[in-house]
Amino acid sequence: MPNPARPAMVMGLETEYSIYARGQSRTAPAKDGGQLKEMVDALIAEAFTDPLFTGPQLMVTHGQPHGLGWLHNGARLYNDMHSTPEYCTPECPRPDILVAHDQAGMLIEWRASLLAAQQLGYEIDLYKKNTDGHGHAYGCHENYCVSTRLWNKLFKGDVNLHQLIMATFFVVRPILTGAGKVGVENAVRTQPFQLSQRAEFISTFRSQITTSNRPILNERNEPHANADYWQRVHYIMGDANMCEASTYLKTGLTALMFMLLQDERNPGFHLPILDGQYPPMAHTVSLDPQFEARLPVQFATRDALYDTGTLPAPEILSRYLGRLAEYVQERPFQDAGEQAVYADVVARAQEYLATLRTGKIHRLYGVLDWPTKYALLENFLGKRGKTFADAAADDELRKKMRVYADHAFCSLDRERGLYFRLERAGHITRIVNDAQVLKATFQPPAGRPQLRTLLTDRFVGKIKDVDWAKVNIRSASGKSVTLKLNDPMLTVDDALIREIEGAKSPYELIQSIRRTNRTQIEIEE
Amino acid sequence: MPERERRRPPQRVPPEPAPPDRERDPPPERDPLDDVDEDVERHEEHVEKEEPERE
Repeated sequence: MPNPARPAMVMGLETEYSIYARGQSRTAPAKDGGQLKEMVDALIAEAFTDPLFTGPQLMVTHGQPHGLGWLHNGARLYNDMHSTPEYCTPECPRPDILVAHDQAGMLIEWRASLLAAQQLGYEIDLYKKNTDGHGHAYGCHENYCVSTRLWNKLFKGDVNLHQLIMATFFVVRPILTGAGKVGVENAVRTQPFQLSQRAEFISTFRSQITTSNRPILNERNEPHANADYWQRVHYIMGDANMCEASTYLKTGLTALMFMLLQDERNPGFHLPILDGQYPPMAHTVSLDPQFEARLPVQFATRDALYDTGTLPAPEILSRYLGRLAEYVQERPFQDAGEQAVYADVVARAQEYLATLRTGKIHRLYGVLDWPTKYALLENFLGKRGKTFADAAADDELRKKMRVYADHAFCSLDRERGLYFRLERAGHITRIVNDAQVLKATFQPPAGRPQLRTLLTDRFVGKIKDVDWAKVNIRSASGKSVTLKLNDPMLTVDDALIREIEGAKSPYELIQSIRRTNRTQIEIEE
Repeated sequence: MPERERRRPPQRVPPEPAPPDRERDPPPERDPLDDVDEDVERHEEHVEKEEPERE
């Protein structure tokens, strides 16, 4: 087999699921920390004692239930802030692979919630959503591995073109990738529906903070890599999506934007950028499902801005997609399959955006999240002789709409959740198939997650610690050695697999790595 | 944007295309979720619950 090609990008998602006990209490989970923690702990314990997801090796390796928080598929699952079973997908080398791992996370969480409910004696409801409808938000964070050079441009120094281009893209991206929700939480308005769950929680352009004053550009500096070369962009304002195509476009388009901006061949941009305060413009885009608003823009080339007037948000997004369509063709990908996936991402995005702009929202029913919710709500209202205009003035009606769209639709219950009922009825456009999702519950993607799992499988019972970029192993002498996996884009060839699987001890593997000058693993004793 | 990076107005802005004709589709003929009232109602007990702010 030829050595695998290095990917153009690796990326991942971190989803904070909502968890509720059924029939136990009508008090807020926030005021009931004991039960909330009990549910999350029980769910995670079940996931980590389920051989379907962990494999017997990892259970033995860790020695204690969910002690280290790593699943066999390279994902992390842990109790975040005693309030959510947060699932972090492994680093994925393509957006379609990430879709499979995101869906695998949903399956793992649901299965573990059923097992936890058996233990606890009450039912658990899990949701993939970003707000509680009462002004509290939580994240579906996106991670992209970028060059340190680009990261410094995006997150250090004065505001510059790279920051403005990326922020403009993030402001208009929810036109395609928003999860949609009923109502408005952070303002005295009675709008019945908006495109994004998270947009109204954006309150600043750039900062380090995540739980208040949330930024478009988050400066968190945790590269999980050799920071001389790679950094991790941690985007916190995206929505948690149910539809596979929404996740595919969200991550694929964003990955391409970062590829374009960090391309050392310095390709041109010639893109519109927003001119003014970005957070209010993000709110405007989300609150405008009819695309009536015009936003002030300037035009950006490589290093300069040109004044202009206003453009509708979909036109701004259309220009970005046009540039990405060119870029996919001009960029030298190492793998033709990878290029085909990114070309498919852009082609779908252009097609769906054109459909939305002609007002044919129902054609994207079952394709993208917010149009699906919008169409479902239109039917829901129509059966009751109501319209969205009626909902704007009717609190009780909006509450029923929230139950329908913001709970029932995004329930992880594969039997009764509305998304999964639509999927069973053949109304959901799939990007991956069930076999790929099932495989992703157990098998890590190629690259660094594969290497982590190879090492933890091989040295069962000797693993002291695991992190994104390291595996710490106890040797026979009692000393520990750290195998550093500092290259997030690394590839695993057959020779390396043979080397790891053939090593009779950590010492033998270390000697072998030193002899072969392996670049994927650095040894720290 | 820092002032030093502004240039004006040496270049024409690409023209904005005519807005596409907007034409609403009718809703799907058959709602696949016709019989889901019970499955929706079971979520009503959670809709007033508040969650901790977190990231």
